[in-house]
Amino acid sequence: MIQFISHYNERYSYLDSIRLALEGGCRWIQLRMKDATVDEIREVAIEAQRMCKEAEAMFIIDDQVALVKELHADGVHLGKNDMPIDEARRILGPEYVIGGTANTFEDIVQHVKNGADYIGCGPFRFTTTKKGLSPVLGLEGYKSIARNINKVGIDIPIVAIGGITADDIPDILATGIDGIALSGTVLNADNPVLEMQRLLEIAK
Amino acid sequence: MTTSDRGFSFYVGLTYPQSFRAMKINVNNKETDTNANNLMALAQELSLPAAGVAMAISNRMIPRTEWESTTLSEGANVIIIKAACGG
Repeated sequence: MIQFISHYNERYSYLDSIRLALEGGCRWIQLRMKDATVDEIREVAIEAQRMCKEAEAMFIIDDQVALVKELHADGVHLGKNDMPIDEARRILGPEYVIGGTANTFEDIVQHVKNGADYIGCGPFRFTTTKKGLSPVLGLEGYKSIARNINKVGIDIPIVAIGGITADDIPDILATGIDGIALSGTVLNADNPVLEMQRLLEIAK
Repeated sequence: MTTSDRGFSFYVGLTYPQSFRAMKINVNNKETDTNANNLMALAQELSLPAAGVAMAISNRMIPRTEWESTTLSEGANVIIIKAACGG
């Protein structure tokens, strides 16, 4: 299971990245435009949501709880410095998917308690996409987290995130983690559509 | 066991295999008994809401329009992402 997080580079815009990911078969998109204004995000989000609807993909927006409600997106992803999950749940009610970023098992337990529906757990390794990140988890970190969540019976999906490339996917999924969130590795490929297809095939 | 006992269990086995033998699958890594033979039936069995739900089988997200044609078999690994209180 792969979540694609929007990204841009010198070749592609945020919207291009989402279009390419959908063309490659990805059905779970997170729109993330970290330093953009709400108006800028809204403009892209409306079109991204249309594309996701057409492809029947789940459409999540990073951080912007009010915008998620306004556009009736499928859900929101909340990073460590975003709105607390329980507050977002109060605003959005039960009908929106809320994802939360976690670095430790304790974070995950807290997020579940606060009403999260899935967890983006990382970083797997050091990445330049996000600044000021928590310590890297590596495979051992995921193994330990997967063991712990099984022990306490947490049953929401956990996706690994942070600098993950194709070669890492089998090992990460083997730890018991449910899915992978990807960004840079898709857009940096010569052919992002083929790369997404390949990644989905590897994650099968 | 008498002959008639054996005969009876054989009869039941032939006639009601589905209702008597729930299949075991994994839903979000938890072993789950189900009578559903496709994703749509599973969604109904689990009372999943009409919107804001995604289902993956063997790590592949399946669009809602393909839920009915996506069959479940013993030991299938299903992951469901859904809003907390939506189902």
